[in-house]
Amino acid sequence: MSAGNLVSILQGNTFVVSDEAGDIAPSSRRPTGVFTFDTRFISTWVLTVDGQRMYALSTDALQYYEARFYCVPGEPTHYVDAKLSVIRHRTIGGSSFQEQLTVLNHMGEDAEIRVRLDIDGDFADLFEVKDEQIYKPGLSEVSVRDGQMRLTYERENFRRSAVISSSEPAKIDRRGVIWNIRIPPRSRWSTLVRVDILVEAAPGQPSEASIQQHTHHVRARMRDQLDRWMDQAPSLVCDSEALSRVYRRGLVDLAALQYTPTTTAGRSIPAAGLPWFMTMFGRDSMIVCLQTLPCLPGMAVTTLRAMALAQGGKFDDFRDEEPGKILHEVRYGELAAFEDQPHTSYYGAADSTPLFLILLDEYERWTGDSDLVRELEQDARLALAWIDTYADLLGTGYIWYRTRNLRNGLENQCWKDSPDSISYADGRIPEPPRATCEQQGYAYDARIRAARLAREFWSDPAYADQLERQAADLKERFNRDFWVDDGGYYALALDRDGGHVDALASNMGHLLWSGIVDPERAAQVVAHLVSPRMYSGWGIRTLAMDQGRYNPVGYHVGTVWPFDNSIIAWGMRRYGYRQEAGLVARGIIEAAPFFDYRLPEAFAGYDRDLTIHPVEYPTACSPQAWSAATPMLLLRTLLGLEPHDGHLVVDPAIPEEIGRVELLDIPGRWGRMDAFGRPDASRKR
Amino acid sequence: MSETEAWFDRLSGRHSTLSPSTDATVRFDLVADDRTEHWYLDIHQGEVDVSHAARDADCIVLAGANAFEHLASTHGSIFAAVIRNDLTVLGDIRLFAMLRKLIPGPPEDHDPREVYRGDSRR
Repeated sequence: MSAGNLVSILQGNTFVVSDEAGDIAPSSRRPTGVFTFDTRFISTWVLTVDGQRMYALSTDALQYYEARFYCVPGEPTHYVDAKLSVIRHRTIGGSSFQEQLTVLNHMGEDAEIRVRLDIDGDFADLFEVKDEQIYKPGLSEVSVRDGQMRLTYERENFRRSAVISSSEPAKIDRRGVIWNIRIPPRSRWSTLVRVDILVEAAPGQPSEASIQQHTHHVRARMRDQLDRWMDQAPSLVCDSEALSRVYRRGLVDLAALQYTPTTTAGRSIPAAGLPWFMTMFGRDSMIVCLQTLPCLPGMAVTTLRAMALAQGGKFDDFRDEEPGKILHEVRYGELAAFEDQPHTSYYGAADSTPLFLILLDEYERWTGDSDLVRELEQDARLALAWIDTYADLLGTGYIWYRTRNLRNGLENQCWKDSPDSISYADGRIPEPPRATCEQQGYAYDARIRAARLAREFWSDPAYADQLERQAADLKERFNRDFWVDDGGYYALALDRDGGHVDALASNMGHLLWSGIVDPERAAQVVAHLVSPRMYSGWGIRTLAMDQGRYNPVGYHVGTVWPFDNSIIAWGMRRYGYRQEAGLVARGIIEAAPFFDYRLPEAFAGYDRDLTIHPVEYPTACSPQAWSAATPMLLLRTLLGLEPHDGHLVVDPAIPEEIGRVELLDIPGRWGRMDAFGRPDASRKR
Repeated sequence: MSETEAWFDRLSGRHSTLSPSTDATVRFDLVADDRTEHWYLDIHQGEVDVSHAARDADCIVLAGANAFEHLASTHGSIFAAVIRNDLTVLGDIRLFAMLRKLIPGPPEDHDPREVYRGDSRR
């Protein structure tokens, strides 16, 4: 997979990012390296032949865990007339990275050459790489022993190593590996270079005691696993090539992003995205599960269990933890280990807790797995109690957030978690605490859904009644307190004084999904979302164009996020806005070909007429799990898939431009079912 | 009372965040120069019973006695301590993850609502 001129391969929380010739060079402005457990083990990996760097002729991303680079030594000329060429074939799996280096001699005489691989490791924490500030208080060491090069970083008992070896004889020094070779005419030479990446156990402990062991499972036959993964998912037959390809691409990327935390006994959950978020990330993992329930319901079980296990149990200011709260993010790097960063575990998200409840209910509706609902009853009740108590900082009946970690806690604890994402229409930033609108919608939906669970599975109808009363009360208050009457929309948030944080933002689209919108107001909300102020032609912008902080390339203040659009389209369907939902789905699907069918995390909010192509947000993660999962939710929305009384209801509403859509073998409590849809111009809402 | 003793003392007893169906044992082996101190947690029906039994357990946690005393006195994260290798977990790590919930937070940290109580604007 390549983004710009970078090429990435990944497997679980291990990934390699290099330039298009396969090199990892420290000068690169974009992050390259071999990473695992949130640490960069290899920061230099540069191949030269007789002192010349590689020039890439082509690069094949064969599988997500495998790539091949075809190179020639030397600078590009007008035409390439190389006497030698080099193939670098790399794979990643378990805790090793391997590169098969092959040099081909095209000449009619011997080639006597010196092949050199410069290698170094800075053991930077991923946060340090991201912030471009690397400070290593521990001891780094490079040693050569038994024909192997060993890079080690040590700080107290914290020890990370990379061991490099070559299958062919080599001269190994502290700067890398050298092969002085002679290749006969029209022949080839090849060696396998292997890097073992070691998250080491405490001194005196056997290697089985390393946390790395808890994430190990058999990865020997990754291709088989990928085939099985693809077979499990429903098959899509459709007229739209873009839809077909973006669906398939998304399935493969979700397979690649399967991540095994240390606490799930080898089972996987979706990680959030490469390169910055290859980790357990509460909000992202759960939203991906919601998006993919019609296709890959199995991910939700492990995710829900992992979230329940990591549920907050105490007050911890540094970690923004409270009892019952569902986590935000877990990290294994040096900064987390030495508690410079709060990610062991960090709880700075105000929406992950209601999302946990929503996912639990939605999962049961699709799969009929009532055992899990019973198993997680206590965790669910604690989550509901958190919404009622610790979330309500001001005692006004809303979810509020304000970090208690003033050093490196998150200022915004909603999905738009950048510091400037929550603003007034004129661009001012409100003082914390803040109560964003979509989080109130989630809290409403969580209570409605939990009421069903209490009544049907926990034998507690009194609690169900109470939850429904709370939800009804919340809906009434919310529609009074958040509605901006003169604009005809919901405020982005409330400020600490209860005033409207009145920017016009995409957040209110999520309210349709939650069902908290007063039906009489839905038309106004939908009209705003598809108006030129918000809809770019490709998708709904995170912030309307005329708002103070609008910036078409601002992370959460003007870009278009595919996942955001998928949730909003789902909400539009819920309120009966079939055409508008189709419009939103169509825009995102039509954008996909410009990204090689891999929907990025976000793209620029420029008008479609202005740029013709959608413009990728510069530092977006790719692949990004909730973007990869977007086609699955769009399919659900287009086909109107809804579990109901043990059956799957199909009620398609498909734009002409997309054409016929057939999703076959949809798994669920009904076994497997097919859904067919065709555009029906005569049917309006 | 040492910080270690106080730490296990706080862990002992009933916990609202502990599932009543959990039935498990965890043993901490705290190694000093001359001896190993065992702390045995029997988790049953929503309660944690702490003893010094030297029996086998579903999950075993190894640590230096000094390192553990430091961890206990600083109210550090046991999960961070595992990543640092100050603690080593053998057996079912999910039980260890569950323990994380039961350990009280730093004493000076409190309910986030307290900051706003008595606030005149409301």
